[in-house]
Amino acid sequence: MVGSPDGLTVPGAHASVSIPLAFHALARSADRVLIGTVVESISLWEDDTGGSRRIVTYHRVRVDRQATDEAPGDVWVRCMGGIVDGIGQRVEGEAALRTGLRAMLFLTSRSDGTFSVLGLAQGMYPIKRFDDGVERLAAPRSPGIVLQPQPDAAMSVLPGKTVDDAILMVREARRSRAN
Amino acid sequence: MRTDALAGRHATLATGVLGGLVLSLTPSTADAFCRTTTCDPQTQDCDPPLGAECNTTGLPLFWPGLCVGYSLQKDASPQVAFDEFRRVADSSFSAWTSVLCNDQPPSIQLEDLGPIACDQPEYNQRAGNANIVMFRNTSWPYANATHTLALTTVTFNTQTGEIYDVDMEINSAQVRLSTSDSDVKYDLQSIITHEAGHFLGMAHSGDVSATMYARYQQGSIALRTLEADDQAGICAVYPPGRQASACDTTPRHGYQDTCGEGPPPSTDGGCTTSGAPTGSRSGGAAALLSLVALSWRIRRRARR
Repeated sequence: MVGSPDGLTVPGAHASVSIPLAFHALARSADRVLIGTVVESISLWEDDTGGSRRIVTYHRVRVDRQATDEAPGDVWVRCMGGIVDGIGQRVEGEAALRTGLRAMLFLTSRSDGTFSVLGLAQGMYPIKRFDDGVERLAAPRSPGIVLQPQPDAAMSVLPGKTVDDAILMVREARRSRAN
Repeated sequence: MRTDALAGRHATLATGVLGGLVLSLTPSTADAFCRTTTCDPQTQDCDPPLGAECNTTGLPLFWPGLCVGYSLQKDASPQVAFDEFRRVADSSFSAWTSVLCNDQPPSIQLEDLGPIACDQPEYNQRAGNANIVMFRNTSWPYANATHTLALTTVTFNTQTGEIYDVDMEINSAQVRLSTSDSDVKYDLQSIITHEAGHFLGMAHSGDVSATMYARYQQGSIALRTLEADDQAGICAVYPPGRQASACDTTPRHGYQDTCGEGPPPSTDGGCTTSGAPTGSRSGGAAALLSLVALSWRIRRRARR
């Protein structure tokens, strides 16, 4: 078992590149979990915390519903990659937010007041209206190469769930953390 | 410090490492490989679900020249000494360049430019660069991604699809890596071979057996070698006889051993700048900014 500083579960000792996150670990570790729509995106060059220089994109997300108790209002979500003045940068495995996208987001706080998506692409589940007319969560996009997901992995558990069910599941997982 | 010449540096053509491992390719009619494109994820859905058709929006990414250099972080890792790191990395890149496309090699060669001091992923618009494979030994800088074992950042020209720079980070701070054929932990060669596909412009494949498929079995070393779909992909992106610039492994704007913008590039190496620099930088801001102030700040930075 490989440890991780924030308590995220790392199932098994043999994997490559990205490890599927357990749903409960994702729900409990997130600072905020919300349903929101990206209404604006701004890309720029930035010095990263690790000292690297990269293109990042800030997405303003209008919060529709929340699975965690937070004050209402828009949030800014920072993702690696984007396009600035004809130069594009892509980070395999990063969450692919875009203007107009509605999704369930598992977010972690950054020191500057913005958020990042916990688990990169594994923390973002687009919401789509399916043939039965019901809005459900879709599979995360571009999660990179991952170990074959276990049944309890978020990317196994969440796709296909209705928004209401997904919010209830998150709240239940976080309640069990508190107890 | 900037190095203008690569003379005297360790340089091994990747094709030489696995000289005996050549694979004959017959084009398949059921190829499932995909290419990374210039598709803008901020405006379009660029990532099809696993197993779905490839995204074809935008221009496919490619290296324009016949030769590309890569550099290996000189400190390597306490888990993997540099010589072993070099052996594994060279074998991983060679897996792609050793393919035969109708009995001819693909029109791309990857050259190990040897150890490098810089250990940060970056693309310098006004200075030299390097395509670096690096370890993160003391801490993984992405607090939101502790489950991630490796990250590859590809920088490209959105108007042409030309790849400018690729950097590969390996999470050795939290992950037990292995390089042997037995007692496999996280197989470094499998990781780098898959990421080398992204280095070359490949996206994830819909073929479950392919090295570029986005799944991996525990303890497996299967991704070290390419499958027919991967071979078809590299031959399609870099077909023999492709019209390409001459063999020059110098990174864009010249080779630079250290991180950062450094001194301006010389005029005798690399390419000329085509992208307009933004000049915008931010090292983080005070916490607890109001949303209004935050919005203003982000907009302001973007305009600079």
